[in-house]
Amino acid sequence: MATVNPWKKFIGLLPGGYRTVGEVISVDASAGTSVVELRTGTRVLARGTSVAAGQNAFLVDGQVTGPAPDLPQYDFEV
Amino acid sequence: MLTHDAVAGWSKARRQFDPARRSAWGTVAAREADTSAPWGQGGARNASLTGRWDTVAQADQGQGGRWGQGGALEADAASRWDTVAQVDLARRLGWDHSVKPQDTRLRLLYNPKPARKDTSSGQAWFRCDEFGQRFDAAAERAASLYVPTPGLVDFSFGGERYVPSTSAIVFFDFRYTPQPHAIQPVDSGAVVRFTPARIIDQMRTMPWGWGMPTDPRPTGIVYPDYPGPVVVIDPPEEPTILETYMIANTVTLVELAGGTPLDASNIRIGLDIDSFAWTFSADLFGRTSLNLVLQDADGPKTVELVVNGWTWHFLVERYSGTGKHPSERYTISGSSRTQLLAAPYAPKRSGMNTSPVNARNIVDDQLQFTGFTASWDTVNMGPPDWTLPAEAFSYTEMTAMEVIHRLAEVAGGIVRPALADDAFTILPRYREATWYWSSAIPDCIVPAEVVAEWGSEWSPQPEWNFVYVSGTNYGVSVQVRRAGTAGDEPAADVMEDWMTGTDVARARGICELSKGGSQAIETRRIPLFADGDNTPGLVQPGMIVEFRDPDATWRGLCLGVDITADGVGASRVWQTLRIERHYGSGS
Repeated sequence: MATVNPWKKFIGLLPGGYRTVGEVISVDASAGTSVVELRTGTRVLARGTSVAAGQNAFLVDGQVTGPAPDLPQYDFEV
Repeated sequence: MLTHDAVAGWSKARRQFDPARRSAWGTVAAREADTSAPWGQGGARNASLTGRWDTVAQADQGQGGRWGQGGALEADAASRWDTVAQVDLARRLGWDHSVKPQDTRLRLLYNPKPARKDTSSGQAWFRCDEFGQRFDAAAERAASLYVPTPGLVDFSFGGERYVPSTSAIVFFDFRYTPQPHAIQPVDSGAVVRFTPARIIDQMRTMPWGWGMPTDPRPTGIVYPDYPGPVVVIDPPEEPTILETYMIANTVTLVELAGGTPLDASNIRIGLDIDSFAWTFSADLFGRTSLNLVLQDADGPKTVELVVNGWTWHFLVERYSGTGKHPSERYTISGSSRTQLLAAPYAPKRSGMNTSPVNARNIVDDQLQFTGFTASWDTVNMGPPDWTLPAEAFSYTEMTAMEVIHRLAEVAGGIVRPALADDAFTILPRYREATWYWSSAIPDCIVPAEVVAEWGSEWSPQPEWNFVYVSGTNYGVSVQVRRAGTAGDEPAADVMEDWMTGTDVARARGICELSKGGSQAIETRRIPLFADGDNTPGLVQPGMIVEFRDPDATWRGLCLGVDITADGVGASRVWQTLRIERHYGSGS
């Protein structure tokens, strides 16, 4: 993002902060990990077992932080 | 006659291998032997000649007989060939009959008509005595029985079988012969018809056709009449190109409450697109000027800066001083009065809505009792307004300006502070998407003739064509895809708590997609012209500016402006623009 704001530039340099939503496929309680399928169909292994399989979960920097609701989906073309 | 016979015999001798002809030669020779007698002398000679001819004829006859047998052998062989041909013919017919009827039967399996044999068997049933009196075989048999009346005649057979006598005068014959009846139809009313089965789920059939089109159905028709909300933007004035630009700069810095001029130099003000307040700094000469702007019990002082007719109001927040005999120098710095809505002047609050509320109402609600006004054209200019359902608008420890600024960011907008008034404007960051800049109406035009200094910095981004904009606990999740692309280059997901409307998500998606692509941050230093003189004037962040460079005319988004007024009195005033220039298609 093109910006000349020093604060925005600094925020852009900071690591982390990536948030996304995925569906929990399976939960491995012993290992403390969950397999989460992202919207693109890619599956990742994330730490955290707070969300049961079959539900949506928030992923913040690769960690399951909590359940996510099912929001209505829309498509736009701009 | 004789000559005639001899000629006839010679004419037939051409076919020497015919056994029948050869035997005819033998007979002819005998006749010639008989006829040679009337010739007399000549006959004796002819007799000897004929005898030799006979011998030759017999030898030829024997050979001819052999040829006749050979012909018979060939005839047998030919008949055997005929037999073989018949065998092959039979086998070919066998294959035809074994394959074709099977295929025919397979096709007829789905024929709703009954088989032909069933049709013929059904016709064997004829209706007869259908409406006559129904006879009962058991009752008829009982009626034919003789039941002896007890008392008068009593038969007792002693437990043995009674065999009627045929010799006695009186005998009994109990044999019962049932009378033949025609078969009466019993269940003639039950007729089984063969009809097509009932169609039960006809209403549940899925019509395959055009469903909900995410892409509009391509019709090839261009709709020129209504591309969307009408944004009335006056086209900028064409700049007047002069050979020489002479500007008499006027810079005035006064303390607003008392109207006392301040002795200042090196005035620098600036604003970038992500800020909600102008920044300000100046050097003051002497303690006298400093005392005028020092904070007192009423809070920080406000100063008024007028540069070439443009008027700013600034809040003096800080100062620093250095002294060196015999002079002393003080530096003051501050920002726009919109800073009063943010820390540390404004209180931090927390809240949550218990009923649905609009974003525009939130802005007004946050500005209540502050004296500030916000202008937000949610219909034409954008960003669009949207409704946050109950409990969706929740915030903790945020000042009023933080709430407003974040609201604008959610919608892909910016907060542009007013210069002098206690007001600000919420605008879309990209008034037009970057790929439409070539057809956009710029806010001002900067010709190359007024550019005093230029530079550029290449800062490319991926060519995103797809972004996922979603609320978190409430709202909608919207996938915004740039038209005409496959949507295979996604930008980072946007997860906003306050993203609860589709229109605002679309506006945010346009903003996110516009950030991508090959781009550069161009720097242009131009004079700060007074307003209304066919000149660019003050270029503010968020404006779309058209630059007419010597080699190309391009449009860019103003990211920031820095204005410097060096010196005292007739100072040198420049404004330095930071322009986001896109090199993609259409910009």
